Amino acid sequence: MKKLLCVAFALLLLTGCEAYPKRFSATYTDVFDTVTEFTAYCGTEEEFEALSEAVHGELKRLHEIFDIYNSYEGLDNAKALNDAAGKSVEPPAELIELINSGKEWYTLSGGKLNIAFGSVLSEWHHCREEGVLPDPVLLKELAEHCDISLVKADGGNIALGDPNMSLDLGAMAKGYAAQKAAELAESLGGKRFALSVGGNIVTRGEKPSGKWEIGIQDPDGGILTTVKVAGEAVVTSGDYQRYYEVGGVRYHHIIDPDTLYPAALWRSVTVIAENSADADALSTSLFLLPLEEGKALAEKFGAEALWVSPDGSVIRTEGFSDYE
Amino acid sequence: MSKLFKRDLALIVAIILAALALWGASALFKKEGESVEVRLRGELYAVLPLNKNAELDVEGLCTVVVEDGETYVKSSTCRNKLCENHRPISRAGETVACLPNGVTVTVKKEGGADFYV
Repeated sequence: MKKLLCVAFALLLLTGCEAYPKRFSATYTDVFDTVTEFTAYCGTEEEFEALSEAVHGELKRLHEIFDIYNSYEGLDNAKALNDAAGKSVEPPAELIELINSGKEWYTLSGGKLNIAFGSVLSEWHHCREEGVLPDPVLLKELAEHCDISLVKADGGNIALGDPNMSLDLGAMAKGYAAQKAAELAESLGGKRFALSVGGNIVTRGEKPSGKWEIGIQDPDGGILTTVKVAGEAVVTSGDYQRYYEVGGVRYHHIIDPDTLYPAALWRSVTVIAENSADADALSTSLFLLPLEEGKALAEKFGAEALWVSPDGSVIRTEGFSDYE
Repeated sequence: MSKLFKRDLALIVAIILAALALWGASALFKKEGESVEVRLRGELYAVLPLNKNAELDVEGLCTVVVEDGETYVKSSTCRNKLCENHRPISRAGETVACLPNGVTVTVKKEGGADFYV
């Protein structure tokens, strides 16, 4: 009987710790020019701190590699690659991997997602900071220097074949980094966590009360719907996320490479996929593509998507509602 | 049923009941009110009740306002003013950020989603 008592005690203690671990959260504002939130269920605060520190460190490392604005000593990052356009450099493996993936996405998206679009995007970035509109003639000139086939990856070397071209990895870097950081947290024993790098959300496991709940914003304010996930990545590309106004007109940050102006097909596109890097590239691609092409692309990745059109109507892939 | 077993059973039941009572009590006291969490460079700077109008100066960098159940950044020393132009927020988990100053303002409520995209 004493044995039974011991077993009952042990069970009670075990279930007490396993089923009701505490929720911890950390916020970082120094990576990828956005707000990052890491939430995890852990047994102790120390356990969470160790995970959070590792996740933050990994995101910082990747941020520096993909940074096109700042240089870091001893690191051949994206800025170094852009500055050396025309010459070959030996960047870290992650930069080579993301560039090669970017070349694939250029083909997959029918040329809509182009990481070699930096010259045009940096002009828009500059104008957004100044609160003015870009000169259309200048945009056209800059667009002459966006030929991704001139980005040559050869083993450990990358060379931008056009001295006036530059890379902008903004459409892919956050999703890729969130994926890598989540993999690291998992390898360190993290089982129930969610990481949001500026809205690129990766989840692992469930909360004690069930799946992670992600509210999808209505571009006009309020919440459109909530999706429940456990293990999937959720990303939204929307015209309400980063924008500025000139003369009462809103200009958002996702530029259509064909018009050189903010894309106008959709107000927002939300993607649910297995892998956060895919989800990030998919959401930008779908934001720039007509519905049928977007649907076909989502299907290729087994991803689900939700589109909000300019008239406010909502379109979903067949399996999207399974998450609602 | 032996006397010993009965006593064990009673003890087990008592332990389970005590555990349940403790869990219930902790869940009851843990229930947070609606609040606004202000962080500076990731560190918790202040927690303000959402139902009480207030104005908070964050180290001279930003002024955070709570007004009629909503919160927003009234002014900031940053250049791009994205935070000032952000609409007031009131839903659980929503965040307004002033990245150049490392300030985030998040609404905390029970029953909201975990994240918003």
